[in-house]
Amino acid sequence: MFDVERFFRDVLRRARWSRMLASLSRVLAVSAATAFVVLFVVLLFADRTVVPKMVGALAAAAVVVLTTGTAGAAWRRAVSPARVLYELDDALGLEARISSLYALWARRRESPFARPLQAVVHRESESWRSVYWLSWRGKMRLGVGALCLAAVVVLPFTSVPHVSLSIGGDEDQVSESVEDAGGSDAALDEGDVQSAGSDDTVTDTDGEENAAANSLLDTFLSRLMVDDGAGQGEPDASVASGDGATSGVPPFGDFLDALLAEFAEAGGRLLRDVERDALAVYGELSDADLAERIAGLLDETDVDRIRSQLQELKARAEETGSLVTGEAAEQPEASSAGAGSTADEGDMSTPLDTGEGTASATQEGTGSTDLRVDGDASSTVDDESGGPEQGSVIGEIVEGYGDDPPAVVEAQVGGSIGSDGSISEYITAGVPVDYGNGSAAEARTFRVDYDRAEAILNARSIPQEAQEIVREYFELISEGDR
Amino acid sequence: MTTEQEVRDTVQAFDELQATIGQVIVGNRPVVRGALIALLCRGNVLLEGVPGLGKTLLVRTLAASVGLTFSRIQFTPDLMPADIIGTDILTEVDGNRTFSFDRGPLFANIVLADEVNRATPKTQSALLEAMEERTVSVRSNTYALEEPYIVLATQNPIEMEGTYPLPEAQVDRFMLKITVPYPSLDEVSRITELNTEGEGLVLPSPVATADSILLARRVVRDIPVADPLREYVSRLVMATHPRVTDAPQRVREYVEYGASPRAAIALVMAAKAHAFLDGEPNVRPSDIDAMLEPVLIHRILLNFRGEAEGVTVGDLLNDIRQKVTV
Repeated sequence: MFDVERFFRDVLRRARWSRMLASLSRVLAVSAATAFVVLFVVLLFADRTVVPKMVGALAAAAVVVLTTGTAGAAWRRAVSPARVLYELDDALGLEARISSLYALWARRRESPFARPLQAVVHRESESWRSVYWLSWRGKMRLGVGALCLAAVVVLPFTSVPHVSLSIGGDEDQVSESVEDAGGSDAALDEGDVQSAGSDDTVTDTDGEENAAANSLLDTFLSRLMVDDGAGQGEPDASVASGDGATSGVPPFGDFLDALLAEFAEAGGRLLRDVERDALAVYGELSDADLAERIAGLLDETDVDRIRSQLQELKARAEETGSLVTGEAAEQPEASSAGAGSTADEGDMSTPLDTGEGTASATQEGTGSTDLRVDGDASSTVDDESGGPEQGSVIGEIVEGYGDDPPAVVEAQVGGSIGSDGSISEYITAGVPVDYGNGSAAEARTFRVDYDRAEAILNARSIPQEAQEIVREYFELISEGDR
Repeated sequence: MTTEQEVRDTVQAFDELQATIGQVIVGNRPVVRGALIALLCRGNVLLEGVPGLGKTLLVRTLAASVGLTFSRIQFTPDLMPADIIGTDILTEVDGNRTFSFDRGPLFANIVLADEVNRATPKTQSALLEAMEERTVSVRSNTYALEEPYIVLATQNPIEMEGTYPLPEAQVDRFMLKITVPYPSLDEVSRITELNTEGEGLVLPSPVATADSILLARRVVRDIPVADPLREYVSRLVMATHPRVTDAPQRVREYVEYGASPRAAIALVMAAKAHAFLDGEPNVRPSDIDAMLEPVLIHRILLNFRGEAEGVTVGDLLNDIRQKVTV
């Protein structure tokens, strides 16, 4: 006996269950896949150290709550029996027989067609349950959802490649470095992190990759500055001494390009301290005109004027071709070998304003702030003045310049220059004063950079008398060429 | 309520009736079915087709097959209402003069109103009252028409000069409008064979009675319709209205007036009769689709733009059928 009422009840319950499953599979697939993608992207770009491992479990729990909530709502949503039964008709190809039988049954109407319809429905609907099996798409969604859910839980514990993206002063330049997250952790443990104006930049041992990962301006700044350990950048000693080769000082023009690009991107802003320091370094290494312009720029507080002055500075630098540090970077042997060799050889250590180099240079000099050179070393001077005494003291640190130790030494030179007799010679950092063998070659190189020395004299707080002495010295060794 | 046995008997009777009519009427199966459906649903049929396609023969054959009285009225412009409904005449019986009603040709079970659009509106109205009310009023007397009663009116789509097209309200009273098509080549050959050899065309003997038709009408009304299909019919009819948002774009552009609720009733009944003639115990979606055009095609009025651009109601019904689903 075909129990019509029970049949309808079973169909409606199964339809509701099927609807709930379909809803569950859809929501699970979408939410789990979304959670997976979001988490993956976060792990890909964010600092792994700040992403807790349990974030995956929390995301999975949220997905489960959302899915079950939606499924519960789908279960509770009312169904239209006539519609459900018609859909079953449609699926079984019964041409509305089940729903027509339901229409008779629901109205409790006597009809000569009830029994024929029951017979047809009973015969044709044996496989009705198969209609409510989850479709292959539903199964796919369930499978994908479950996989994504598992992946969300596991993902924070895996080694997702870490990608850091940055756009430098050149907007077209996008550099990317990928490294294993585990490797990143190891690098962090080893303290192999180089602060380059961006504290969250994680680097490996390859300095080139690290530089590429930072913005161009930050790269310049990082090459100009060294970290004093407290995170506050200060001018690199080697840069201050004009040692472009050893520090890899970037060209001034490129630095200005990067700075202008950042200004354009930010829509104008004041100079940062680190940028002011960098500009000061470049000022020291530039000619008088550029140095003066840079000094004016450093005092400027108007955003628009800063930008215009930067552009003027760039134009002026290009016009004069005196992109000082660029020359230093490109011709390390020419302009910086003196300082480098001096420091290396220990013959002529110059007291610097920061870092360990200052202390060691001072101590290595004489221990009593005096520097001694061999008599042969002053051959150039000797040629001009009639010959200095051999083995005499040639210099000492000038005292009394406050907190900013001057890169100037005073040297007592034996003999005389012209009618002046013995003189006190002031030497600034970066000036080649090797009186030993090869000093003539250094001097020729130095004469070429007379303008640079002039700029340094102007930029530094050097007493006027000392400046005059330096100028006279340069005029002497240049034999009136300038 | 009818019984299962009665259902079986009527279904069998109508199978036999269709077969009998099919022996005389070559082809035109949709037209025959339309006439039977109207008969089962207590409706009337508007037949449209050029002369000579066998419209009159169809009606005469139908009447002969069911043993019902038949009358044919050729509508002309000078035809008066009294000519079709009858009139009171003065008679003398036993020396007493009294008025007696002389019944017109409308008093038959099956009435063929040939070229109904050639009569004046006044005469047309007399016919339409008989179609709808199944009564005829003469002076203060009202006379009931005998059931089963069905009017099959014909219209000639050509030679529209001097005609009086039926007003929309009156057209709506026809349950179905069936276009009689040209027969195919084989059907023409068969028609000539039947009419030119032997004794010529012979009308069939009755295979059904008036009572069996009335019983079949009750059976048809008992056929169940699922709620989704009733809703489907409602949406189909509503989609013929230009101001309904669910209507197809062309309906909104070219239709002046859509179908009335009477059309929805007619569509459900026609679908039931269609299922009955197929021997089905319930209305199927295909029954509704099959009866959609005959029921709605004369109930949708195109606007001026639709007429000017040559849009047909059949095209619009195809749009509706595609847009509205169960």
